[in-house]
Amino acid sequence: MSLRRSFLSRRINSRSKSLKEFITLDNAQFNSQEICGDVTSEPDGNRNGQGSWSNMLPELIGEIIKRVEASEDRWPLRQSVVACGCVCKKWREVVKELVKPPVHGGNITFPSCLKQPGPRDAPLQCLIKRNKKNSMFCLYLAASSSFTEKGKFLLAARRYRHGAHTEYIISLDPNDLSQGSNAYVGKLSSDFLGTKFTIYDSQPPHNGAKHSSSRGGRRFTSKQISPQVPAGNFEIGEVSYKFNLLKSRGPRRMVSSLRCPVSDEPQEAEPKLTKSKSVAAGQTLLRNKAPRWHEHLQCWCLNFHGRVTVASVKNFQLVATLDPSQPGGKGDGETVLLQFGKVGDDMFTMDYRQPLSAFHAFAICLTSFGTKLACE
Amino acid sequence: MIADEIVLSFPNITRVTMSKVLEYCNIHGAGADDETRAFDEQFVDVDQKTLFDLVLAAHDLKIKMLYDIVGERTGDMMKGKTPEEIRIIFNIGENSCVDDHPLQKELNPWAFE
Repeated sequence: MSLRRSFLSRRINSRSKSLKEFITLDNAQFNSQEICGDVTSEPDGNRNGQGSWSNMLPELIGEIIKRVEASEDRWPLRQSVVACGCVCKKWREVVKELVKPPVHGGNITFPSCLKQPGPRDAPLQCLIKRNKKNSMFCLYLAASSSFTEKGKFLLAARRYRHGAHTEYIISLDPNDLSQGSNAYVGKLSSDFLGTKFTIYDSQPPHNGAKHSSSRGGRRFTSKQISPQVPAGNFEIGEVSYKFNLLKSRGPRRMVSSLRCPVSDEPQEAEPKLTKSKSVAAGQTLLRNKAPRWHEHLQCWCLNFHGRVTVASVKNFQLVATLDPSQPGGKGDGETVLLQFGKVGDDMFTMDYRQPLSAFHAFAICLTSFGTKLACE
Repeated sequence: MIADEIVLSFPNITRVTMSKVLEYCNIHGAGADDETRAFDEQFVDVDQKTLFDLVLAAHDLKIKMLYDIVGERTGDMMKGKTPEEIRIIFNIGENSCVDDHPLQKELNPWAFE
């Protein structure tokens, strides 16, 4: 039995009706003159000021972009997510909501992700390629487990020697490594011996830090999708290499203190830290894991889980310090938060996780290059 | 007594779009098979304006299967494109709030090398 329905323009709220009733519609008749809102298509898609992709409901455009985000989760495909975020302001808001930070999603999507804590559960694997000719170091997101396939470019650094001390300028743009650039991310400064380093961020960290130098009234846009913040150099951490008393080719000792962004997850109350005046929230203390002497192989050994294949004094693993009496000493002393090591002549792996960001990790790894006169 | 005529009003859906929606429902009424898959492929091969209308209609009418395929097709049209190409495809022009946030210039070399 065929059904006949005619669609008229009287306003009866029928949106809740399921369309199943009409699936066997054979003889539907449309009264084209009387259907409300029947507007013939306008070429530019603007129907009564509505009807354009740029002002489609955020929930709808969000659901579409969500599919894109879920399927394009690896670079270079991930570029599509960034592209959607650059289309217009509404789409940018949608993408910002959708993209999980690295600590949850384990993914780097925007430059701002480089200063957010790394994944919580497993380290993010990266590669550092050194170019001795121009003293440059480039950080890449590892595309695969192969050590030759570089993957997505993340950061570049160049070493500059200024008399008694050395600086590494870190930037988003490998072709522009000046502090005045919009691509400037931060820098590393070392003393003459190359045993003590200070890490500077171009942006102030959330919990405040000493501002070492101001660039006057100039304001740069933040690399994050956020309002403009003043540029400068904000001290956020230090790395020290300890004198090796044996003066042999023994392993170096490294200590680092860093002001890490506090993650969103609820933290347990730590009354000891709040009582201490000298420490700001989010301070993390790191030291390198001591290698064991392997009597049979006659060498110092660390378990790099296959991520380091060439023996080098530069190789290290950093853990958070265990000592609860020390400010920031709330780590378990075992979980490796940053691992760095050689896999080729000029190729190194860098694996990091929260609370360190890619920027922190890269800066700490850069300290491992260069001569450490007192240590070797 | 139920009236013979039930009046429905969809002020936000054009006649053209509604007939496409009904065509989809009729084909899929019997369930999915190779024919319906082939139908779906050519069904979503339309311009962005038609796709836009179909997305809204499928959402308003809560037809999940249709919403899924048009949503996926729309997403596919965004993949592998630069922001400018996406604006052209989806007709997001100067009248819209095109994002000229200065950050876009920095994202360009980093993301789209």
